[in-house]
Amino acid sequence: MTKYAMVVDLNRCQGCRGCTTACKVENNTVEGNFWMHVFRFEQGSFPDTEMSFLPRPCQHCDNAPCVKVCPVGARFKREDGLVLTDADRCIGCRYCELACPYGVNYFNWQDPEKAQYSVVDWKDSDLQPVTDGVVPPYKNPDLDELWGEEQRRTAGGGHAKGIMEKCTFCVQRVEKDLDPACVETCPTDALVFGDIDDPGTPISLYLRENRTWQLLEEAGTRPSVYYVGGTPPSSELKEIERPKATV
Amino acid sequence: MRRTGAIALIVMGVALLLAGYLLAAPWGASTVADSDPAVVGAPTLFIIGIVSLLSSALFYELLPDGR
Amino acid sequence: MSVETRVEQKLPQGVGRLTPGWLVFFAVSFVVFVIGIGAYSYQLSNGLIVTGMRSTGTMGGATWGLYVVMVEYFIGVSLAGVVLAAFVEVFNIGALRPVSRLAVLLTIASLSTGVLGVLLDLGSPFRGFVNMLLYVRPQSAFFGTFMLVAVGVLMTSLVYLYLGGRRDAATIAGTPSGLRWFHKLWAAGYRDTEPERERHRRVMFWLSIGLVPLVIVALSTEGLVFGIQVGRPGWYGSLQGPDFIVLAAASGLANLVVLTAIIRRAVGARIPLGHAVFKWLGSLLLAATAASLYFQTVKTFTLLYATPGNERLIADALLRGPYAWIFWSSLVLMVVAMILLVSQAATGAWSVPAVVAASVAISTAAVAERYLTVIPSQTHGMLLPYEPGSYFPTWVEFAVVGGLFALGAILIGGFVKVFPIINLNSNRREVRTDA
Repeated sequence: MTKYAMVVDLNRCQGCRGCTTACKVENNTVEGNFWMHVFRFEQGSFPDTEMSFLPRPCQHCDNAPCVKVCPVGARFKREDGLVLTDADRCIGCRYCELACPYGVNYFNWQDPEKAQYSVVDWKDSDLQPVTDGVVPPYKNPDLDELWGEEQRRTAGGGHAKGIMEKCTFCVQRVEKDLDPACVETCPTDALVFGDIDDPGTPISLYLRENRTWQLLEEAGTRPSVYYVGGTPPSSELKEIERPKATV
Repeated sequence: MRRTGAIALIVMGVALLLAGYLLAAPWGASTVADSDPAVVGAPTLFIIGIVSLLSSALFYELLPDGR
Repeated sequence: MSVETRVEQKLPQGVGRLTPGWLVFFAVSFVVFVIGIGAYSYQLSNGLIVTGMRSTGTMGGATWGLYVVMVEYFIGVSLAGVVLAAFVEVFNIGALRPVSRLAVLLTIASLSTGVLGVLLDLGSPFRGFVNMLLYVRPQSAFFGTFMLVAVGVLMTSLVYLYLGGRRDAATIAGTPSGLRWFHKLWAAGYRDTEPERERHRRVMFWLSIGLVPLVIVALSTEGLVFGIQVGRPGWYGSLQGPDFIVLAAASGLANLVVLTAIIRRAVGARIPLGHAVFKWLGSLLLAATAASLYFQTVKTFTLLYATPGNERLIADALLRGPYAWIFWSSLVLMVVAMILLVSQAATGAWSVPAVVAASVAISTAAVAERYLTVIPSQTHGMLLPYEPGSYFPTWVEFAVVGGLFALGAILIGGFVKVFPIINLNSNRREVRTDA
């Protein structure tokens, strides 16, 4: 049976946030929502400081607290390990967001048209001739499809107002035997994705050859994301900057 | 009649509560993967169960004398 | 007494007569309610972006805000009323019998506002309503809110109110008035015969016996919503359920005291709401407040000894950080209320204004306590090193919450004009029992 997982090699990550950008383009997420976030930490005091990075996708936990608390089964775990949100089922109670210790859930606080590229009103009649009606500039049609055995709209859908969303491991790409957008983009190959039940896959090899750790192992969530190198973040670490894009 | 009717409503209520609860919760699932109720709409059975239980009180008290 | 009531030509307790004071009260409540509806419509069309809530983590907000705080408060307040009425029924506490209907009404009003508050907080409220019927999962703590509280406790309280009022309805159904049809409908053929009374006693007894555990279990799930969250410092712990119940009892009794005082003033001296009622309510309030303060102390001490991890961040935020003023103010209010109540209990001289003052203090402290349960763990309780967040409600949230309060006021205020709020037959049963 297939069991998807991701390896994040912190020895290779240089904090470029290419993964963050690729994720936003592929998944067309709204302003302020970062399905893939990269922490940039600073330790020590000037001039003896050291920077470190920690990419944080959804951990697709095997014992997912978000799945447990969802009152209507909108958040569910597939047989292949992906933890997904059914955009047609979610009622927007935001309980999953509070249950998740990793902070990976993002609620759609407003209409995507307003939330996305909000500096421009894309419905403006003056703009229509320029954009030829293609607004926002890029919209991935795969996001609206039904995926998997369950045939549920799990790839983010239209980022509709009032529902929850989060990293899907790019279910729309995985279903086509492609790597998630972040993995595909990473210039240093710090991200590896694949089936860990198949001993022959690159990720299985990676896991065999490297010591790994998992984020907040003590929370008992059994994440599907494994980290290589670096150290688990302590509460002493400080983020260098907070993402400026907010809603 | 009064007592029989009330007891019947209580029994039906408890049965519906149990059925609604058990069908809504996929017991026996080994993982968190099974997050849907075994029967869609099972929670409604639970609600009807509550209504049935409470109706027993109304039935018992409201049924006119001599029945 | 019952004979007097029967021959009276006017409906008792001002039922059916609209006084200028009541009209002003109702008009103000209605305006506030309409403003609340307006604010909610604005929220519905624009999304929850119009509130102060934002996602936790990188967005640096609190994803549950004032709505959930008030839902917790309202549902908490609902506990005391119907449980008190059940105790009055089971233990035949004659002194409290006059307020038992008011107590049940308080439960119904606060539950209605609380449950409505849950819907108002949802991102997709209509879908929420439908999906609750189709998919709600018993494994989620929200099952308690949706099924046990919203359906179970609310419907049981309605049945309780209805059956408990049948005898009074029959009593006043003989009085000519525009509301006679309503009272006859409520009485549903009740003739106050001995077998009917016996049946009623039996039904109310068993309803009460079933109700108390249902309420305790249902409302404990409100605490469990937070208590089962391993990933949220400040929330995880077995104390959340019991703590919710204890504060719920205190805040519910406090609201009942205030309501009783208002009714006493509005309806006048011809109703059996003497000092004995306030002495009973004050004593119960004292016990509940003492228990709540005990829980509060235990929780604070646990915080003080928190290890230098993320629990410590919550402790700092509460004790000396941005939430310190709320934390210490609520504690001071509770202590002041305790002093007021203990001094009265010690001297035996219960004063209505003093019990009311203590109740207002406790009720305010309860709102603060609910706020401190819900908010800080979101803004400061991240296990990963996100920067601390912040939350402040917007005018929309205040207006919607104001609308919820107004709805509660309309429900209670409207009820007292169509039905006697104080049991007309309070003393009858006692006479029968004594005889």
